[in-house]
Amino acid sequence: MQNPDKIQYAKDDSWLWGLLEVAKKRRAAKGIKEEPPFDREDAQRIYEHYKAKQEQRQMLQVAFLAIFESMNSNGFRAVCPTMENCTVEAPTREEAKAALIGELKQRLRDKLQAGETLPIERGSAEMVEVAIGEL
Amino acid sequence: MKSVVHLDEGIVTEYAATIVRQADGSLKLINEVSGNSTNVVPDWAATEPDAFIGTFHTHPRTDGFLPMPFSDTDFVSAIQLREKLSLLYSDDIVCALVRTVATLDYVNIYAIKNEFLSIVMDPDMEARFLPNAVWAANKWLAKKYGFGLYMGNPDELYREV
Repeated sequence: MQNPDKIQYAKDDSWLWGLLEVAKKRRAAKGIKEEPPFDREDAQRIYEHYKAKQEQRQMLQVAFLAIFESMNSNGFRAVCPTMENCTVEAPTREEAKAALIGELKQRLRDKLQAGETLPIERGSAEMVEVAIGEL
Repeated sequence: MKSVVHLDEGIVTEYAATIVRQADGSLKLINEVSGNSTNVVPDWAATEPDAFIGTFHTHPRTDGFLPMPFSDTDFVSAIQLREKLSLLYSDDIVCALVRTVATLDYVNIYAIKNEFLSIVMDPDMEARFLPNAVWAANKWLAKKYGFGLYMGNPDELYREV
């Protein structure tokens, strides 16, 4: 019996296999040697590294939203309420944006290096969509 | 076993089968199919919807990158097909993706490809062994899309969610 509700998708690994070939060549060019066997602890380290990067990115997305909410006719004050009310002021919108991002990145780096939890207040999916759109 | 035998003969072929629930509640693998060295299409078209549980397939490789966990499209098909269980056999390892109440019903394939790319090709990452990075990507996607994730073998039972 045909099952119309089930779309056919292959277990097609060709894209990932190709990606691994590229990664292998790049790593060889950098002198990185593969060190089997499979290592769960190394995988966890990579996972945590990526997670931290994503948290930084999400933080910046929320910050962008704050920037655009805080502009007014007297100049530009950029505030990130989710990062200790980090505030910067600048004569132009672009300068305020750049200054806030620079400050946020520095604070995030400091916190990560100190092993602190990132003070991320997650926006709704809609907020993040808006923020990505602004980016 | 066919996959292993073929590897010994220098042939790389992926195999797949469909997991179904029988009338007495037990599970059974049916419709075994073979693909090529990089993909295989499980034959679920003739499966009764109520009996369909998921799929099983293999990841044979000859370049030493073993065990190789789930690929990008393995996640995509597990989501789109509403698989309750997706089993993978690679080297002597079994991996499982288990659907939960948190699993999404739809995913953008490019979003998953991008995340795989970001993790496996991260210039700062420098995995000691590339399958480690693929497993990190598996963990990330399982958490993001609400799957239970397992990797283990009879000598080393292990669970990661």
